[in-house]
Amino acid sequence: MNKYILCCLVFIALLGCIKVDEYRDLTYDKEGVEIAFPLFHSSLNISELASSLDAETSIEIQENNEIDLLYRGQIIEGGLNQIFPPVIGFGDIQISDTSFLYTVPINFWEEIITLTMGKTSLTFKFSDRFEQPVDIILEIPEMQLNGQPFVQQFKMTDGNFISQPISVEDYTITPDDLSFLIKYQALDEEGNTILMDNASFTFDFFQIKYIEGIFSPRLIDVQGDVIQVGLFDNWRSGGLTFSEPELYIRVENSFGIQAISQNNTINIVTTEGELLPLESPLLTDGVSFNYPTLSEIGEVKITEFIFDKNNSNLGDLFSGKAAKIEYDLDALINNKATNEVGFLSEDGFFKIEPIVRLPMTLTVEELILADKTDFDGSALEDLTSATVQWYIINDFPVDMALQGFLYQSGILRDSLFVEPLFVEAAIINGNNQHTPSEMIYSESYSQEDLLTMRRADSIEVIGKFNSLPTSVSVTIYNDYYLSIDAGMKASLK
Amino acid sequence: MRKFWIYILTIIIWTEGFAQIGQIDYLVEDPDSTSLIIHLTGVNVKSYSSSFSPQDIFFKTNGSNRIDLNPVLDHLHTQNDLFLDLQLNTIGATIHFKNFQLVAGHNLRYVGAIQFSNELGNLATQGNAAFIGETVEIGPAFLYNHYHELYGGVGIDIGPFRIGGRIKLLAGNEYLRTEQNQMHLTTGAEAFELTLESDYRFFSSGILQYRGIDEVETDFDPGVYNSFFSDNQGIAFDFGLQYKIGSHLLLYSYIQDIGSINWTKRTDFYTKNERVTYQGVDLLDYLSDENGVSVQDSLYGLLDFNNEQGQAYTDNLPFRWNIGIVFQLSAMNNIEVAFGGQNYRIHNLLTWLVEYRHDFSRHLQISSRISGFGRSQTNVGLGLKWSIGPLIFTTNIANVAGIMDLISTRYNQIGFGLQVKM
Repeated sequence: MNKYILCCLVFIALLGCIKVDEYRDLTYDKEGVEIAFPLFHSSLNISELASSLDAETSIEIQENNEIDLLYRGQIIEGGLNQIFPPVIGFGDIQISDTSFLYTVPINFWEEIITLTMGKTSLTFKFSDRFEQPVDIILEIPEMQLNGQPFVQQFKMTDGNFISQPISVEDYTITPDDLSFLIKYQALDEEGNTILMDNASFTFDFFQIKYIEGIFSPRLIDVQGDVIQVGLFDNWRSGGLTFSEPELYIRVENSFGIQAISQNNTINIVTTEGELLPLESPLLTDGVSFNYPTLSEIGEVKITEFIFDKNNSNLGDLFSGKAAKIEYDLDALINNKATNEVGFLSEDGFFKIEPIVRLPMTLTVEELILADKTDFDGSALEDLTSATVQWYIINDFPVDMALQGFLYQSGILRDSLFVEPLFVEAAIINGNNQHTPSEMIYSESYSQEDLLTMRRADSIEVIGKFNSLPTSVSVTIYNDYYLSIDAGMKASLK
Repeated sequence: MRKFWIYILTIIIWTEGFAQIGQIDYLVEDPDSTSLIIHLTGVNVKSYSSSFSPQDIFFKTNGSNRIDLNPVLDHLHTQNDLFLDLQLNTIGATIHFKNFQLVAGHNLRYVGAIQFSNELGNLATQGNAAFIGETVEIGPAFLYNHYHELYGGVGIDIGPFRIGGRIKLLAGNEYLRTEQNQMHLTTGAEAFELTLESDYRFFSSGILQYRGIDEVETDFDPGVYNSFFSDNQGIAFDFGLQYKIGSHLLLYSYIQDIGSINWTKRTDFYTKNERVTYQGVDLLDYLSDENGVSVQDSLYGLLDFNNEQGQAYTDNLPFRWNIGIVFQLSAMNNIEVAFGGQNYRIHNLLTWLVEYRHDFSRHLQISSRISGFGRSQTNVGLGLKWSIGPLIFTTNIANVAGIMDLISTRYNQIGFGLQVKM
């Protein structure tokens, strides 16, 4: 039916002597059209920056609005099984007589006062060459549950007997000189007491829930880790000196054992791969870890120690562009070899959390940072010329000079600015009164420039920063911000 | 079968080219006593541009046809109107009795209208770079209405009065209309941030799917028989009155298309009522998003609309009214003066007409007229009514100068029709 409409229109058109086909395939003439649109914006203060940081990095705002930059290392945690792994039962343990003294299979104890069994099962075996029926009563007097000793009765009919695994979980053992007694009585059909040809027992794991006693001195190897400091990931040259860098270590402990750090090493690895050892009396002398006493079972005791420029060479090391901090701490238990009674419990733990704290009072001297990222210039295809306008507000007391370099397959093709874009530092008066610097700058690009940009596949943004005067530290407050907005005016093809 | 009817109708249009222009003016006709008039297929087309003609903006250079608004920027008004009104009269009939008349028939109606600000015209031509630091109004208003009307009516003579009315059963095919069209764009001075303040709402039935500025689908279907009895039902009325004063003077007035269509089929409401500022891609997002953040996509998001589908919408028809006077100078000559208005839902236009008619014989009447329409200049037009036996051929052209080159005119109205008088 569209033909009907068309015929009408053709009829009218013929009357009007119009050549309609001359007006087919109309295109809109974009010549002279110049559009203006925003490219990107960012308004960064420290709080907003913090929200974009990775999980290990954070920012802490102090009451006076000063800020600390925190880099967290992996938290090292351990439980009872990491300090005293369960003893695995290997083979049969012979019960050589009807009354047999068995030594608790746990090392590093001077004295065990009491011990509560974990998930442990015992299996008993008996055999007799006469293959006669025998009634056996087995007892472990020092292993009790609710005041009742461990007693089992077995009936052997054909000269061999193997019991089912018998759980001894929650039985408490009060050994005498690290040993406890295992007794059995075997009666034949006439009621005579006999000595079995073979009596033995096995256990799967010797696992404890709670143990109390006097520990032998023992060094526990706590596996170390690394704190990644991303601050200098993009460092190119120059310096950033923090006035008060800190390495803060927090230890939580609920084991009732006295211990001290030992064989401690902390190394700072620079962006250039250089290994710089941290030196401090805290490392050489060790730090005593707080621990709960017998009356404080279940409580967690916290030990904190800080490496700073007063007790270490950390300040000097951080001037060297720290990329990461490697640390390894061991713990020496009962280093004083005292007779103090301690304890370990199943729900006990220790936790070591290292944090690098960088209060943002610093000097910046010719610091150059660079970052390279992918670039997609395909949207520039329809443009014949363009002007990019930058609107920058700098509220930080640091001068900045920005430049961008465009690369095609790794080969430098062009720069964003003829001269680096210089942004003055904010003016800081007393009492943190600050006046931001503000600038608008435009740079025009010809069609040839745009063609170069379109072909680029990566861009390297380089920033050069200086605090003025360079000899004086500046403090970065939370309300400082940097706003970078850019828009483009472009003529369409 | 459908092709057969298309063929027949096309032949009628091509070979006979008639219209029933008189059909809408039946109230002012004064036929002989009892007669039957069959209105065969006709067409009435009206086009109008308040500010420029198509020729002003169409150019052909280097073998390509292009639209360029630059030459007409100085001629744009604060608000500019474009519309095309097409009425296809498929068939109809009027029976004249001594004191009353009956009328029935079918029409197909197309109305398209756009209203836009000169600021939008400038923006489209120069780009928003010419408006940095300024706010411009960019929301166009538009209307497109395509529907069938089946009508029946009666006119009754009571003394010097003749009173008439028609009832029309409507079946809507396609509809598109802005209900609100406030949209202001501000381009920031520093980094060209774009602020769009909108109170914009438009409705579509079966014609437009808008999923974003870069994803617009239209399903324009001007078919005659499509949706002849569609789900989009409506009703409308025409009313007319004429009064004879003596034997030489006749006063008349009429109003047409008072009614509405309830649009229920493939309906979409698009709404944007907010103030949005786009500052570009967040630099942190751009640097941290490995998949990349597109400036273009983010920019297009500025023109996203909320869409409610399946909601019925009732809207009034574009309507028109007229009042006039006909003075019979002699048995062969009369003169008519009329004033009226046309409502296109998004704007109203006023019309006026002074027409002189001369009967050269019982079979030939030629009229000449001057008329005005909206902001158009005064137009000189011609009309013809020619009887050959039972056939009556009528035509009128509002702008004779423009008929020789329609592309160069801002306003014209052309109608052809054929009636058979039994």
